[in-house]
Amino acid sequence: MKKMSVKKSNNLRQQEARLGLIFVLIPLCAWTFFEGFPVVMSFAAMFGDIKNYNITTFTWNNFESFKFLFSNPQSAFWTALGNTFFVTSAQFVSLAVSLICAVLLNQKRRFGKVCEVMFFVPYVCSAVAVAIMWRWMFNEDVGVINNILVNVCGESARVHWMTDPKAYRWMLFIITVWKDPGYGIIMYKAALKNIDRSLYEAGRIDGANEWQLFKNITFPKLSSTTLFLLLAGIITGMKCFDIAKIVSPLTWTGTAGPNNSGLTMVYYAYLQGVTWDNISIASVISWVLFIIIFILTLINMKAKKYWGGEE
Amino acid sequence: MKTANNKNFMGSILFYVVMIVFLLFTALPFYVGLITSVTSSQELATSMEFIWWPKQGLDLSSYFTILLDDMFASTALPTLVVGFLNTLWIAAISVTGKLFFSGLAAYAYAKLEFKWKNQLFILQLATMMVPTVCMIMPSYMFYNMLGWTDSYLPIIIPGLFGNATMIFFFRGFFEGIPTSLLEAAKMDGVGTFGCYIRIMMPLAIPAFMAQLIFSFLGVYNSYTGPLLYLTQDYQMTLQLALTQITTAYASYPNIKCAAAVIGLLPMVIIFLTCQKFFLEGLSAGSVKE
Repeated sequence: MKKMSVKKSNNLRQQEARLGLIFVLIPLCAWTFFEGFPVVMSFAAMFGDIKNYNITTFTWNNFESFKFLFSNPQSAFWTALGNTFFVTSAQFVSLAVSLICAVLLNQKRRFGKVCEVMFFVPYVCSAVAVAIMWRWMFNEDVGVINNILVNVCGESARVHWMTDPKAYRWMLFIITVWKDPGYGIIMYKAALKNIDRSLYEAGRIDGANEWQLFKNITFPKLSSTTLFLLLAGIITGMKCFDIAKIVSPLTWTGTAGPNNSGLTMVYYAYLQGVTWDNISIASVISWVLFIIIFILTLINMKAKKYWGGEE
Repeated sequence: MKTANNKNFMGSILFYVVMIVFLLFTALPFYVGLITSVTSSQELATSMEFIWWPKQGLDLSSYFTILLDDMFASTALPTLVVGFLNTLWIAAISVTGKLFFSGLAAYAYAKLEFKWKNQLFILQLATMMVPTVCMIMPSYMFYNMLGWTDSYLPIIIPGLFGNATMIFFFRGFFEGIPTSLLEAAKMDGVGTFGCYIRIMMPLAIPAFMAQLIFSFLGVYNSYTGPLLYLTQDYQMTLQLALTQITTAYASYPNIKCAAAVIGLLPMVIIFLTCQKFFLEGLSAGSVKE
């Protein structure tokens, strides 16, 4: 009897081990097929001409795609790279805004909870709807932003959002600062909750003022959250596509906004790969993007070790 | 005593000033979208500056226009309705699959013993190193080769089998469920898979709710995938339908804003009613480190 049950439980354990392996292999196999393969293919695609997106039509093209993208410093690629970094820099502003809001909200004053919920609303809004609303707000003649600027500072303050390349780039920047802080506020607030109250009491007894408490206790304690949000923000900034595409649709001259000032990396990859059928060039852009994000991730991990070690 | 009060007073002034400024900034686009959507086309056409409040009274015709407009003769229903229905069924299938398979893998990692468990888990986490944004073009080429373009397959199938973030999230939650419950169930003859359905899933409902809401949000708002693969009129999702409407009515700001409002409204309502799940679901993964 005892032998039987041991055998039975052994059988069960084996069956469990088999099932467990199957359960975890499902997502891994799906990933290998749907992402692993395409990655390998796109690596090959960088070095050749491909027709109809069919890798079997591959013909060696002597690094033409690389030459096309990198050789001319005035090319759309460098513009797109610059714009992408500019949009990504908005994430730093967004991070600062969310830190300030989270610290203030953490004081638990009246209406704080309502504000917290309201600040998160833009985060759940669809990029399409956001882009439609903001484009209307940036209208040069009857848009609300120019309306406010002109009423407050006079006619000379009117910004030519649609024709001035410098102003044009700011549109995506402003939309980012509007849309993204909500996420940071929630993350910072969760981290603030975990800081030991007694640290502040000890600090107060030692006569520290609010700013010193923030600088010496709050900010260092938040360092790992900051680093995490920074990385997440950078990746969000680098992948900016849908808002960019809707705010600046392709003009008849083949540019996105004046002097391509609305072009981001992913948008450019999309135009090359889908609109103009140059999958080879689109692959190179995707890989450049991947390498940039990879390097930034490594720097972030290093920083985490060095800076957030105490956590 | 007096200085402490003073300090507190200054603190609340600072708090409310910052909050009001940022609230105004946050609310402005919503106000502009709403007001413009209920302003009549004539008033917009004749005005030289932004209309803060329509003088000719509220005009809801823009909503009727987009809700009823059948832009493509090939679909029997209005474009917006087609888009909405497509989004709903795509979301239903892909979200269910994603939650089910992610949970299943997480259950195995948290509660089952098998070979190479830790190595496989590290491998699973390593898949996160390839950001989805770099996958847009490679996938496009791949699905073209598979002949999957012009179909729903590239939007539904790849995400169906779970992803690393979700597995990581569920694993954390499942580890908190006592193993003794599973052992008791096994005594009663419940199998390995049965334990997942009958014990883990019911106990992890808050975790599933949080992930459900976020994946629904993702599908509802997604634009890039549908843009690449759904090229037929009848395939259009809500977000694509909205972009179509705004191109068709490019010179009617009220109709464009109405489209934006309709696009946002369902998600904003869901968020405001389920904000607890949203906000807790977001921070749950991070606090644990």
